[in-house]
Amino acid sequence: MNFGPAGSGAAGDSFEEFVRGRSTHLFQLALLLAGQNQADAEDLLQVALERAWRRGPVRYREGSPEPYVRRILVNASIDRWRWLRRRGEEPLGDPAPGGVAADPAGAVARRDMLLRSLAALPPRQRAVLVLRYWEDHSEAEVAEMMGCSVGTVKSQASRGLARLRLLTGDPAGEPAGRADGGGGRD
Amino acid sequence: MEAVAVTDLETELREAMRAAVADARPPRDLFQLLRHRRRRNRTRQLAISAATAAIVVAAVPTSLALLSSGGRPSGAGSATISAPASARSGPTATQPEQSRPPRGWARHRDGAGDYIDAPAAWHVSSRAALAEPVVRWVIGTGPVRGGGGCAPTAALRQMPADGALFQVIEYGGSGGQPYDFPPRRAPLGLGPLGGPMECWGVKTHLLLFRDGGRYFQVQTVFGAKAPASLRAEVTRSLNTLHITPLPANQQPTAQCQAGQWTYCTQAAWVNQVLSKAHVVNLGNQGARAIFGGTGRQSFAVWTTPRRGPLPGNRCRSVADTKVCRAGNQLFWSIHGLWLWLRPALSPYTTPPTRAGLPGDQALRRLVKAARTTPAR
Repeated sequence: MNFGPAGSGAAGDSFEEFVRGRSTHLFQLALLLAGQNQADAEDLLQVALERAWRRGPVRYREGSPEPYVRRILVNASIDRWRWLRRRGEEPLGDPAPGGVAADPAGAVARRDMLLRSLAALPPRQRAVLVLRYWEDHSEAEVAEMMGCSVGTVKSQASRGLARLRLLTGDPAGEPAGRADGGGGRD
Repeated sequence: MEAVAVTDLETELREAMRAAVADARPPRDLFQLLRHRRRRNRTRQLAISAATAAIVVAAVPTSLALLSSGGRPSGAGSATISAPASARSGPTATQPEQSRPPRGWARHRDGAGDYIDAPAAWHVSSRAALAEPVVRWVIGTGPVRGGGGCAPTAALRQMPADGALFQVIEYGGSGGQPYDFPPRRAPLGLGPLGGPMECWGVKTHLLLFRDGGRYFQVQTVFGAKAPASLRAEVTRSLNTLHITPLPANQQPTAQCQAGQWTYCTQAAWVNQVLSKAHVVNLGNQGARAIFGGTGRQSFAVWTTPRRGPLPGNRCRSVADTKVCRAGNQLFWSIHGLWLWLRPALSPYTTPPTRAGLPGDQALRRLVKAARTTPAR
């Protein structure tokens, strides 16, 4: 399949089909990477799709552009935060309107806190956790996507989870079924 | 398949992320937005290429001339970049309904029949970063990128030093709540400069007005090197703003007369009272009341006309005002109204509250605020 730039007939149509078919999932990924900020997520997604569209024929001549788009999304989300930090600005602490639905159940409050804490993580740690636990990628796949080593992915995930425990006031966080056979909670 | 250590937190995180984005959908017109973005980038690249070529073309003869004249410039004046021709025939009437925009300007319509005209070279976006109030237009002399919380901060960051950026937002898209906005004046100005504003983080001009039963806010920022002529041009653009009035039966007055209390001016007064008493406004309870919150208590607040006998008889003095009880409700007389409070469960989990009447201190603040806030 060739997802060439628009204006090249069927190739452009293919990209449009790809956008229509996968944009919901990619938008959800962008939303998590952007710390639940709707406007930033829309922007990230457009940047990634537009770039993929523009460079399509070179980058994914024979395959789906999705891995490429996902990679741009992750890197763009990290770059954006780097840029904000250089400017000495901090993103808003509140989730975007409509990001978390109001619900009387206490579990929602806990979930809300978890998501806010996730949004407060450094972008690289957040990206690792999103790709690992929302997209269910292996550490090797995440490493490839982010252009880093498996060891880096492991350490980023570990630090991210530790920070989440701290932010959400979860004192235990011991694994329930560790692969190395270590003791854990039920 | 690699072994994965699973903790409660990881499971919780996975579920939280799934739940958080399960209903999230990209903009419906995503592909159109992409096309637009692609066109804009192409245009920008072409412009950069053209500018580079122009500089090269201009530089070669100049260098040759300098060489031939021994290095001295041939004239005293340097080349100036002229501003794009402004639309001198820009309309100035209030709520205009012009058949077409002035020459060199473009008209930006929304689905509701509202529109605003702006010079064609300016950039316009109507992407909503806010659910309420609703962003109608963000207009800038420079690129208007999406992104930001409750303000177009991405566009603001990119605003040129000699540029301007303004945003038109509308309140009450889903609310049914009157605001204390003055009627639209002719012609519109930019409004006073104040701030730094909470959302924008910088000083902005702020203009509030109501038009056709609808409520609008315009915030404008100019770059440090923006010329005076740009202010005039932004003002001219603002004055092209055409608002389609709400149908008569949807105007707040008609809604109020139909029994929708939150559309009445008394509801706007209650909003002011709550704000003055430092009571959190937790939104509306349908069209009947407004939720207030103090500490861990949330309650409904509303007014009724003061008619007939006292609707309760267990009264006490609070801040020199007789506050009475009727069942689980408190009420008192103020400005020809009964002001009522009743325990009510807030629809929000944050801040966590339970249905209950305000404590003594908060009640005193409410009584005082109601007394000192003029009725409408």
